[in-house]
Amino acid sequence: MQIEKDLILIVDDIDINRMILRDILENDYNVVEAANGAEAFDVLYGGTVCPTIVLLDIMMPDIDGFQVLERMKGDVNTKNIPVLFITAADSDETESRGLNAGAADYITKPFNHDIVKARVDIHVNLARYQHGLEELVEVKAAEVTRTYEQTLEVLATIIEYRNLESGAHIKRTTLLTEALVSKLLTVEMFRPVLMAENLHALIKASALHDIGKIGISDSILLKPGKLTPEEFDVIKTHTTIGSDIIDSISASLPDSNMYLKYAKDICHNHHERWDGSGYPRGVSLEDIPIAARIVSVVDVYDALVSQRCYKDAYSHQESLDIINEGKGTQFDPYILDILPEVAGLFNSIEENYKD
Amino acid sequence: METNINNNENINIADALARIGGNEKLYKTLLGRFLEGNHLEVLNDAINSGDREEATRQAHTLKGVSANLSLVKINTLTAEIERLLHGGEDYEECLNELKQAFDSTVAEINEIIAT
Repeated sequence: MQIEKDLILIVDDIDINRMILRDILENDYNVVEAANGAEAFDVLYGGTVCPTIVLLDIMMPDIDGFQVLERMKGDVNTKNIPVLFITAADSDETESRGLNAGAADYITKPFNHDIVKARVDIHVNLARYQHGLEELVEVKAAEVTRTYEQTLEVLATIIEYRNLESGAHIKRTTLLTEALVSKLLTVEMFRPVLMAENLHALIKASALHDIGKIGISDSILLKPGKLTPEEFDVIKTHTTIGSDIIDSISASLPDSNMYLKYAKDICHNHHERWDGSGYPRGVSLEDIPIAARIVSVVDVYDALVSQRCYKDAYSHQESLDIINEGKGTQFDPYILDILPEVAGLFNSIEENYKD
Repeated sequence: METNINNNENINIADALARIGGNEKLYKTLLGRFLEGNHLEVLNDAINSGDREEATRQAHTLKGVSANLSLVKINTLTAEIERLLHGGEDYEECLNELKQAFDSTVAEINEIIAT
């Protein structure tokens, strides 16, 4: 036994037809009636109720059934509600036109009590089953994504520990990236660019920017003091190694994944420079993926304010000044224009997530 | 189900009652609504206005309602008129037949409502 009865919307301009359908259905369903297209829209888009299925007469004055169906199919909130056309028994053409327009089924006048009841039952049950499946898929997809993100975060953290840095760098990178992305979203110039991206995946992927360091030997990675040019060339390969690691993970998965796409963009490009003098490829300007342009600022900021095996920590303000010296050469100057607006937030993230 | 209203020439009452679970009270209410709808007059007006499309639509509506109330004679004739109007053919004779059928059907409806 269901607790709540499903709601059926009956749209017909003739009250007699609505009353007969109501009589057939009201034992098992809640019924709401609309006497024309405009009333149907009031019910469908009024925001108070959502019918499980709609019984829709075709021939109505002003807004006819086809127009009602067209609007329903064009609106994300109603396109999945099954529509059963009400049609005269002798109009094959109307039936096929209705089905082609996206109707789930049709019932014919004169109504047959048992057939109307059976058709409505079938479509209500199908809709309920589909809703259940959709919810299940959503839950499962969220679980898979979470597992994924956790696995890769663990990987990134392990690498940071090897680097003699704490896992806090990973946490800070993610938070700093999130802060900068949120601020950039309020800027006219960046909003359309960022709205086209999956920002949740982008922010999560920033944690993986240095996973390529797993392929760098301890003698170079952990060397205190200045590296030789040869050693620095080896360090540079952590970008392409990271990108290759992501490629090998992607290859083992059946579907393309936004999270890994951003991870690759970031690993490969977070040492590229705005003026094209970076590595590994020397690309410049907007050819550097937006995710990497953002993370390069974040990564340098966090490196400057932290103590590393090769350097002492700079203060918050010193770090901002050093970054600003790279405006238009190392960094996207338009991102740096916005940086002062999140500087306070950057500072408090550093304070709250110390090594 | 036992019923104290009987089938007659113009109306298939058993058929109509099967549609609404044998609910005689509801059937009488629906027939009352049908009389209030002045469907013949509405159809006539549409035809006289010369708007053939609107007249076709009204014939179609009347066809559907009469089918649902099992007003068999009206149903047969409105289906024919809809076809004639739609095809641009002569409908006068059929319309006269419909007017007669309407008169006798309305008389029978009044009897049913009175029982």
